[in-house]
Amino acid sequence: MTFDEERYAQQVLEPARLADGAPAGDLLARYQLTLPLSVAQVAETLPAVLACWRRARRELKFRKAVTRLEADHARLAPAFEKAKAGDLGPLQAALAEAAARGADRLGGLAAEVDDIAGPVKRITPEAANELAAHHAIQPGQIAAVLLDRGVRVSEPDPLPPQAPVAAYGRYREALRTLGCRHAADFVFGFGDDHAAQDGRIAVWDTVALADRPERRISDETVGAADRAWAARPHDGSKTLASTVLVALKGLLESSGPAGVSELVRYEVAEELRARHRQGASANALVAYASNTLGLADDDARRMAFAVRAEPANGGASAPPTATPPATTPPAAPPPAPAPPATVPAPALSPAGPLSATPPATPAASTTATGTPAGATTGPPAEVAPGRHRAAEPAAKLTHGDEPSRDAPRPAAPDHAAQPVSPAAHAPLAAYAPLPAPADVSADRAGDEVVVRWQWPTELTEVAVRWQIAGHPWRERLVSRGAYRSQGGAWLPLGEVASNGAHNAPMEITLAPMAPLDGHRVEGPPLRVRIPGRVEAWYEVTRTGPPWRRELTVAVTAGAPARLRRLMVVLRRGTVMPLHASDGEVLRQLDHVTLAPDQPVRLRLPAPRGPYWVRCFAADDSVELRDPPVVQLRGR
Amino acid sequence: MAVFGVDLGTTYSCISYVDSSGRPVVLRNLEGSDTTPSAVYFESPEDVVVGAAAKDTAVLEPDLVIELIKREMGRHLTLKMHGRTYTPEEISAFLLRKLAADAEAATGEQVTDLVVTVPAYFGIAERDATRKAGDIAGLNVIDVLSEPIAAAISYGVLAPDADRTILVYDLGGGTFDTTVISMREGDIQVVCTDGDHELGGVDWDERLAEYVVEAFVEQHPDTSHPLDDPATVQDIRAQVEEAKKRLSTARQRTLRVVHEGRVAAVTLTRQQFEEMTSDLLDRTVDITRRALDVARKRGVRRLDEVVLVGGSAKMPAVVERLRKELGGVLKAAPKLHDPDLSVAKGAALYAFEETYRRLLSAGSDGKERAERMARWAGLSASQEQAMAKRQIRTVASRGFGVLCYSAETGSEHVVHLIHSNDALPVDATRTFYTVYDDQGEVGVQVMEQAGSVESEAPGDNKMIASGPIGVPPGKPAGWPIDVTFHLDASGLLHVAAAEQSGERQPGERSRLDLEIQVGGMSSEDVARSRASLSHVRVN
Repeated sequence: MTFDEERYAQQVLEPARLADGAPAGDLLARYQLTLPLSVAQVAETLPAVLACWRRARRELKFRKAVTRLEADHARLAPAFEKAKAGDLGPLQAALAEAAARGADRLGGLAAEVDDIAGPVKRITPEAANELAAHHAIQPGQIAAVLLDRGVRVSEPDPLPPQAPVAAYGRYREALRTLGCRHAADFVFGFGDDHAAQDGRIAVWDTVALADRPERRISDETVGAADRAWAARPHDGSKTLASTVLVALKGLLESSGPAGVSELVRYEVAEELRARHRQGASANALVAYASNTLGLADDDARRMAFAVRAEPANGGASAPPTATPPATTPPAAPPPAPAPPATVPAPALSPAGPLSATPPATPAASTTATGTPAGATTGPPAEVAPGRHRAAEPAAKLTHGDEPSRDAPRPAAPDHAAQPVSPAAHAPLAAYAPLPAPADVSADRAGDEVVVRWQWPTELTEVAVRWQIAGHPWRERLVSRGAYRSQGGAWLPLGEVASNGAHNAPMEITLAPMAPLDGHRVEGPPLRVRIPGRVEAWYEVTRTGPPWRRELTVAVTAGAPARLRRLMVVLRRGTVMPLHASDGEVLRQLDHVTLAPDQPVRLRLPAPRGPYWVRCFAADDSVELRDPPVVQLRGR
Repeated sequence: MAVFGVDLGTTYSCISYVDSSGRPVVLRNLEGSDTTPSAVYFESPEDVVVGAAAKDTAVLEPDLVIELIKREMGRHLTLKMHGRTYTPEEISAFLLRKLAADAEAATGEQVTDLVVTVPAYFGIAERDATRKAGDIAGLNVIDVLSEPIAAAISYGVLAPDADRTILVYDLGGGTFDTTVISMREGDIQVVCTDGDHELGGVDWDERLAEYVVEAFVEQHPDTSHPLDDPATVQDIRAQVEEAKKRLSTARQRTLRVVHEGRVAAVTLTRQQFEEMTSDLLDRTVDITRRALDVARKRGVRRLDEVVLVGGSAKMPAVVERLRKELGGVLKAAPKLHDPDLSVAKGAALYAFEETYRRLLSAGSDGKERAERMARWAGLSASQEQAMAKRQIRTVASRGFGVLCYSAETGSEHVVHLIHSNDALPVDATRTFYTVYDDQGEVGVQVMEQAGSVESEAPGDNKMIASGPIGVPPGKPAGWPIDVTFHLDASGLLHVAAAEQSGERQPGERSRLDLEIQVGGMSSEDVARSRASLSHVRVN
């Protein structure tokens, strides 16, 4: 039989190499012998094995392993000599002794598996391989031991690094006050009687009751909870419930049941993370997840495993490198042709009491800022990630919070915009009951922000005011006609864009305007907030010999940030990709932690021929700037 | 008619000859260097590149370049290139062909006869393989000479009339020898020799390579392992070799490991390098002490000089360590003697002298040619005389014996007839006996010492020849068989066994002359190989 060196390398040399040179104890594999032994077999196989070791020794990576093999062989050589001479006894005895030692080793391995896996009963593939290498046993043997101990090999599940709802704190406060541990409790109606529940929660995939999987987070179950609460008398708990429901319904609308399930996982993970930080043992984490948070047993173990596997700073992150930090990148071309950056969901403003009808007469007083009292923006509702919408039209709002205590009237109108009637600047005695714009959205678009809304039939003008944090308010009166011709209200950021402040948080108000008796009157404004964005940038370098070029993409941010998704896109040819869908996604990273001075690096083989490679960030909280075009273009 | 001396090294080789001034001169290769890297690149089944170009190609085509083949000489090993397997002898033959071709280009003389050096510690199998390499290359290997003797010959030329006892410490790229040599009235006598032909500069390189690879993995744990990429491995090998050389003069050196687009810069001081390789140096010192013990038992009380040869002996730590270890027996500090070239020069001198001596004893025609040689080299009459009578005596590097069976203990053991450091040539005869009544036949198994010291355990010896000899029928246990070993000056062993009763059946063998088959290639294999590889172009 021809000696297969490649197979031998995989079976014997590589495992020995991974075990820092320690060869496996299985002598039959090591010497490629099969039982029953024969003199002819030994005479044929041994020289081939020894020659294979000699050849392998010429490779640095196998040198240590071969040295060990040869050293071991010195001990066994007399038995092999006797076998070649016809006496198989000593060799058979040596094989039996090695097999017995192997059995002992497996016993020790089982104990170690129990110790490492602990109550979570899980280990990572890397840990399993290390165990196998350390004990110099074959992967098949370790799999059998793990199965026997009820331990699963899996990578820890990635856990949500951040809350999928913006006002998470308020939401949790409301939930806890209602006596719920998490959204699943709320939806499935356990309330504060969760101790009486007879079901456990399955939290992976779509959240559901473990023993009744048909009862799961869905539009129906959330809708049912919504209806149930709507029918209840109005009291403090209903207010709290509405806070919760707003969050859940918002998630349903933006991400479907998966979004709500993600929220549940985040809630559970955060609880366990807190305990883990406090030093809770694996046992304690599993018990807490199961007994206190109500997770099904295996889900609890899986969750504890995932939490314990997270890096110390919590959440998934790309491994930091030891290379020097990226220097300040050269000025990148303005991303003018790029799709407008989307705006993440703004923070929910505190919800004031609601009424179904507008006030009969508006209040006559004004606030110190000149903003008439009685106007309130109401809480802007979250519609879709990256896109912000205003709250209910002003007609449905009663007075409550001021639109913004720090939102004075703009000192001077935007010179490029249509001048607002001076009358509009005068403190108004009252807000006119004008229909408010609906379905408001605001999107960043390079050095402008475009605001869009639905025009009520009778409305012809809207006063748009906007402020970048730390800068004065600006104002523009937008007519219906101008809106239609421009496809929205485009708000220039002006010199703010050039000094880098264009990523700062912004506040926009929209007030319906109408002429009345020679001057304009203003209806209650709606408020839109655009949270700030972190600026990130990347560089593309090419290394390696011409026949094996490699690309290295290094991504850094100006401030710590977590990027939901980073995509490296290739477009072959001479046309630059403008969107991620314009080319082939070469690499995609989810939940990437960016930090100043710690670039995240990706290495890729460089394509042949002319091509463009460009990065895209699917995350509205980060503005990813391109490097000079010469870096993006390959020949 | 020129004769040449070749230092066929593990990492570098060179060729030398005696010029018309009587001086040994190393011949530059076509690339302009004195030394040729012992690297062979198998460009295609019909083309082979040897030397620096092959070494450089190792980074790009690591699977098609063979280096360090000297470490496989005498072993049952084949390496496959372009679908054909090559033995270490064949690969060494390509090295010899390149050296010979370049020497021909440099001198205008055809290279036919040459002396090839081997480590003193090479055994029969390794020496035989070296000779066969020359054969395959179409060259006439007139002798296989131990490297320390070559170095001593080259050193002796500096002061031919000085009587002294020297220690030659030869730390080459792949082998280490330490030899005590007595030089008296122009004669060279090896007192004792020891060594390790798996210890050399490449082991220092590999230690350094392990260090930088570990540093890279620590800095870039998310890449694949650098040692899994043959091109990265070759790049590392080249860098560590250069770093090792530089650290002989510089205090520190920075290496850059590049793998998968990542770079790890590793700065290393000479002190760190010496610390991480101190155990390797310890081994050479230990072997040297062992040789000195033997020398002491043979009457050597003091060393006049310690001569360092071999490229790896240039490391400062070697000189310092030997000075510290041998201060008591040394009259002067250890000194480097043309470490890269002295062996080749000594081999050339020996080739010249040996050819001269053989011609002198080959009749009048030979004498005339010998005199022509001497005149061409510009030798004076006295120099001719000295050359004619010079004697070079060496010692056995290993013990040789016979495998015997003890009826009392029921076990086998080796009885050595020739012992390591026996002066050569040596003859030894011993009587052995049959074990059983009416045995009929005896198997004679010739064993060579495999370890550093003699041992009777069969596992500590290597069988190098065996054959049967008949015993007349009806003879009782204890019937005598005489076995004679003859080991000549070039390390060739001849074994004869004889049953002396005179009672013979027709066709029975009463005498056994064993051809020492050391494994590897047979004469027929060599002839076939020479024919088949003769149309492979070298460079």
